[in-house]
Amino acid sequence: MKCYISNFRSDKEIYNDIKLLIPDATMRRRMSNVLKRSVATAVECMNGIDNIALLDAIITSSSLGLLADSEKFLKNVVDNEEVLINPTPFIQSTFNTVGAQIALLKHNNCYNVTFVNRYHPFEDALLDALFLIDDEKKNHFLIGHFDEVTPTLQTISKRFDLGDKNMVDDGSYFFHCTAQKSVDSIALLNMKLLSSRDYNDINSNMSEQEKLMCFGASTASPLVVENAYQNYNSFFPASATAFYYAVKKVVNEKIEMVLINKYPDNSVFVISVTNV
Amino acid sequence: MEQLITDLKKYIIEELNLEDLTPEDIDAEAPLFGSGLGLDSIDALEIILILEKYYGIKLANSVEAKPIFYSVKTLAEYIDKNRTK
Repeated sequence: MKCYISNFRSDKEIYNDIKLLIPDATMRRRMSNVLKRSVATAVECMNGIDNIALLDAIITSSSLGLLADSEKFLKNVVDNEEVLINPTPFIQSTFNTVGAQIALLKHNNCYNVTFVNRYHPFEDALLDALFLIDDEKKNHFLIGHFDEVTPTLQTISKRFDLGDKNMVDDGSYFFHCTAQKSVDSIALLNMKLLSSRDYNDINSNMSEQEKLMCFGASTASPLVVENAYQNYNSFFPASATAFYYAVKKVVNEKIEMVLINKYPDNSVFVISVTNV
Repeated sequence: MEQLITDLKKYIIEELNLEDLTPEDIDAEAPLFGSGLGLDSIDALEIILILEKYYGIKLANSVEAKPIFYSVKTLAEYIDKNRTK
């Protein structure tokens, strides 16, 4: 399963003023920080609001969703004894708020799904896009991941002895992908989901070249990176961050990379990215 | 009444997250919805919560609410007559 990447953007690299990227002041003032930055990242990734109308699917992912709004809502419930609850944090705290707000910018009512789980929601979002290409012949996709770190999350993580050394930062990452190659295509994405048993079989029974072919690599010597994400439980956007930097490296250095993402639930996602 | 209007403007700015505005920017006689401040139905719910939380006023009748919610001044006049705290 494969698709082409036309553009990619991190919230650390938003070049335009957020007020220009999200011109609706009412929409903007209701947004929490991570929501505002995620939507702005998505708009920059699409090179402007107008191109959101082109999308056939908006697929987002998150490990914990919009935490600040969820905390605000729950604090309201407790402080006000379940009455007088402000509607905005409740409305904005749902996991699919980022995808929905992106769609609302151009009233695009295309396929819009958010994947949420602790380990690999970003890989699930990528896989979903690839399934849509194979099954429904969709072309334009916006795939993104967001997660935020709040003081409460840091406190709870310390209490569970997860430590905060891996809790690098909040983050949102967006990728504009297409099924068909175009003049804007900068990288080719190929992806496989394996069980850890299948992965170990491949590793122990195949030659290096056979292994790489099996992992979807198209060149003889790609840069292979293995990520064991059980070590990154407290830094939730880790795999999206890794994918973002892989795409950046592939495009800048015109190389091929194979990311092997292993998770504690025994799933192994093999993602190859090639410069085109 | 002047103090009530200033407090009300502060609560509206705070609860509705109108971060670019100060109380002085809000014309007490300008419409809150549509033109003027350009608030919408979600903001109306937030204002209902302000009335209940800070002034102990429960608004049950939506027909009655329309003229009360016209501007900060009409809201303040209603609060002045009906507040329980």
